[in-house]
Order: sequence, then structure tokens, then C-alpha cells
Amino acid sequence: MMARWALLVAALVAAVIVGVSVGPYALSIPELAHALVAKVTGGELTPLVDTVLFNIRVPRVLAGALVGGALAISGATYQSLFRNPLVSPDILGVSAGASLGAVLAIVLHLPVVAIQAFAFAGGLLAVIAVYGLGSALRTRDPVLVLVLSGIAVGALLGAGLSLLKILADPYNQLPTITYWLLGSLAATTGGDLVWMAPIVLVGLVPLLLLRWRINLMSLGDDEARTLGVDVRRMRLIIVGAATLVSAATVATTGVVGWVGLIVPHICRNLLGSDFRKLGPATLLVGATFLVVVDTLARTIAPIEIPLGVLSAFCGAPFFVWALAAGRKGWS
Amino acid sequence: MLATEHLAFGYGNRRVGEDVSLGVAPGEIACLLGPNGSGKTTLFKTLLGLLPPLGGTIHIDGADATNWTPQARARSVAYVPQAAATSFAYTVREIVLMGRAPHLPVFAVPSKTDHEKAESALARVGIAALGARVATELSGGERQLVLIARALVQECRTMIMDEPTASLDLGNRVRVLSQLRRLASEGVSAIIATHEPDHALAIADHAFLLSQGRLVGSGKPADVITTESLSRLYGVTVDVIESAGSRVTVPRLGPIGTS
Repeated sequence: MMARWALLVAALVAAVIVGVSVGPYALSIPELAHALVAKVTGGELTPLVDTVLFNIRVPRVLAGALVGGALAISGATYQSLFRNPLVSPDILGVSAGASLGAVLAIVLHLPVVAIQAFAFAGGLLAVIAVYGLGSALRTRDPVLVLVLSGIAVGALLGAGLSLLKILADPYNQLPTITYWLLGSLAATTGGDLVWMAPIVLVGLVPLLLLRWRINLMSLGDDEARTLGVDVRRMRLIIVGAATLVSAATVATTGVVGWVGLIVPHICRNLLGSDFRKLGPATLLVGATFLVVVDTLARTIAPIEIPLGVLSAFCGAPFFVWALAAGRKGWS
Repeated sequence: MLATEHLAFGYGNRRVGEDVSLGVAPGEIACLLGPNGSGKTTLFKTLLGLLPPLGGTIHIDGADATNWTPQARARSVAYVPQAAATSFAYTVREIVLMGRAPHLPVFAVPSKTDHEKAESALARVGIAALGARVATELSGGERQLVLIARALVQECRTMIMDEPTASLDLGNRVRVLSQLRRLASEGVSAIIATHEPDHALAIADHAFLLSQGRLVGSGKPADVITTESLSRLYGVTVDVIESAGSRVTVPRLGPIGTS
């Protein structure tokens, strides 16, 4: 068991090192080490290395790790909460809401900061609407109602999104919209990290603290209650935390699919379904996955390939393989 | 120990049953018999606090349990559901450990002591060797024992069981029933809904017959489970006969009147 954890950590460290060293201006590992020491001790550093490494690559790789880990753990959380291993983090409309918010800001010619703010707010508002709707419709199966409300609100937001695309300027705005919807870390700066990281951490803390209780939620409402769980409050906390995490990441990178679905699946196969292990494992593997995919996205072709495209290209075949190889993590 | 007085139960304003006074004393097994739709499930949900009572009282371990929190209730009363397959492949140990939930603070994870309690509960129902197995790969009987072990880890005094032997083969039924009898002798009482009058005759100290939400029989199984009462309860003719010193039921096939 310890060996597996060491492997997961080692994979992330390796992915980060490769991620910060490759690119149009490649750096060897000794050069990297030298630059890092120089940066920390205030030693001599060429302006080019300083810019490439610390203004561009390090923020980008860190953001990739944070976004990947965050999407993966919120996916795993929702899978336990909705008792379904095929649920992704955007089941309650966070991506649809964030997309509509971002596209609205683009159509209104607002600056990048506002696009991010609109996306974040849109993601939160969409989930609040879904949750409010689900709670207002009192039925005997609150989980099912929540999922169906998510589908309804998602469809509504999707219609709004399509309408905005039709109204957008096809020469300036539409390419920006398309690019945003496919997800990318290309424009991520250290400034983005500064606002995103704290929000993500605020969401991650309850998810990690509740890592054992999340197991109980996967038994269903009635059984969880007979084990003493205040299911309504627990669900609110978990949805709130997972939404904070995913809304903050979607707002900075756009929609990056698949991570929240396949990473939990891999981790279930490696370590089982107990969220005490699954939660931390999805953080590590999700971070590794997105750093690798993003490194590929900016190096394998002369132009940058959108993350959403590449993660689906890598993710879908892998997912089919995982399905064929065995369904150890769930039944 | 659990007792109800004139309990009325149902969903919101839809009353499913009323005037139900039943109970189980420490170390006793009570069986609840009733046809499909008689209100057993709704009654159990009310006993478990999943539905608020519409009238009457529920006393648990001597105290009025009407306003108990889920956590307080879970320390006294455990629910043992039918051993259906779960969505996720938890190990036996992980499932049994979940029974510690009502004893731990919200942000806590189970300690070494909790793990030890889980192991000893597994040993108590005779499945210590299954701890590391994935529950979805077990037989129905083994899964049922896992859920009983989980109830023991809750340190409950009463188990509420919904047809614990449904869909089990003969060997597993006998294994589960004898475990229940043994646990009762150690002081863990159980209220069991069952469709098998024979099981009530075999292991229960008390039988309750529920029909259309009302009790139509209450007392020692041998007194309550009779040809007349069962025939009335289920609408078919059932003979209760003596065989090898114990009573068993023999249903007659065919509708009433043709036999």
C-alpha cells in the first residue's frame, strides 16, 4: 500500500519536472535546479530563464496540477454522493453555468478578469438554482430529483449559451468563445493562481476532512440516516465544497472534461472505493493527469491543442480499456 | 429495547397505519408478519426515525424517542437492510466500520479502537476470515452477516431487520437465523419483518400480525400463528401442524374454497 502511494507521488513529481522543463525553450534538469536555487537565494538568473520558467511555465504547471486534482476529487465526491460511478463533476450544472457566464462576459466585451468572475459566479448560481429546485420539489428521492433538476437547468443554460453564440460577432468573439469552451491553460498566469488556489483550498478542506463520511453518503439517504448521519446537511456541505472547487477551476481554464470521470475510475481500480484513500488519491492522480495532458497539448503540435480536445482523446480510449479490463471498483 | 404505544404512521397526510402498540424486550426477538402492502416498511421507517410518527409514541431504551437526532437513535437502534448489492465495491471491513459513524465526531476517521471493534464484530458473527474481501463478491448470506456485524459495531441494543432471509438459500437462512438467536441470548434484541411464519415459530419470542396498518394479532408465536389467523391474514389456507416437536406451516395450494 505504501509503495502505491509513493508511486503516485513520484508520478506527480516527475510530471511536474517534465512539465516545467519541456517547451520551445527546453531546460535540462541541472539548469532547472540551478534556476530554482538562484530564484530562492536571489542569485544570478538570466531574464529569459526567469520569464520562461517563473512567469510562464511554473504558474501553468501548478495551475494544471491544481485544476486536475480539483476536478478529479470533485468527480469522485459526486460519484459517491449520487451512488453512480459514471457521474462527472458537472452533473449539477457547474460547467453549463460557468460557460454561460463566461460567454456572456465575452459577448459584452468585458476584460479577462470579468470573464473569470462571470464564469465563477455562473457556475455557483447554476448549482444553487439546481439545489434550490431539488429541495423545493419535495419527493421521496431527493438524490434523483437533484440529478433531474441538474439536467433541466443544464438544458436551459445550454439553450442560453447557443443563443449567445448566434448573437456573438463571428469574427472576433466566436473564436474566443469556442476556445474558452474547449478549455486551456495557455493564458493562465500567476495572478490567476493567486485567486484560484485559495478558493480551491477552501473547498478541498471539507472534502478531505469528511473523507470517511462521504462513504456513508454512498449508502443512500435512508441507510445513512440510520447510521446517524444528518444527510441533508452533509449533502449541502459536500455539494457546496465540490462546487466551489470546480467553479473556481472552470473559471480559469474553461471546460475540461473527462478528468473528473476517468481519474476516479483509475483510482478505484488501484485502491478501492473507500474515500479515505480514494479522495487523496484522486487529487494526486488528477494533478498528474492534467499536467501530462497540458504538457502534450503545448508540445506535440506547432499550435496549441485545446485541453478539452486532448483530454477526451486520451481519456475516451483509456476509459473503454478500463471498462474492458475489469470493473473492480464498482458493480 | 423498543416499544410503541398507539403509534400512527404514514407519509405526510397519508395515514398508512394506526393504533400499533408493539415492542421488544432486551434479549428478545419479535417477528412482524403481514402481507405485502400491510404497512410493514412504513412502520419500520417510522421506528427508525426516517418518517415522523403521525400519532402515539415510540420509546427506545425507556426514553421517548420522538425528537431524537439520527445520531442518538443510531446508537440504540440499528437498521439491517436486505443484503442488496451496493453501488461501490467496499471491502467487508470498510462496510462494518461504517457502523462506528454514530459514535464518532463529524470530521473524525475511525481509530485503531474502531478497527478492533469491527474485527471483533466480524468474529462474533463468524466471518472473521472475510474482512479483506470485497463485499460485492460475497454470497447473499455472507453479505447479510456483514450487515449484522455492522449493526453490532453500532453497539445498538435493538436491530430492525427487513426480511433478513429473503433471497437466501436454505443453508444461509439457517445460518442467519441461528446467529440472530445467539445474539439475542447475548442481549441484542431484534424486530424482524418476515414473510416466513416458520421463522417466527422457530426463533421469535413474540409475533405481531399486521394487516392494513393495524395489529390483528400479538403474543407468543405458538399462540398467534394459527391456521385461522394466517388464513385470514394472507387470504389463503395455511395449516399449522406439529412436526418433530416443533410447529410448521403448510400452505394449501389453490384459492380458498377449492381445497
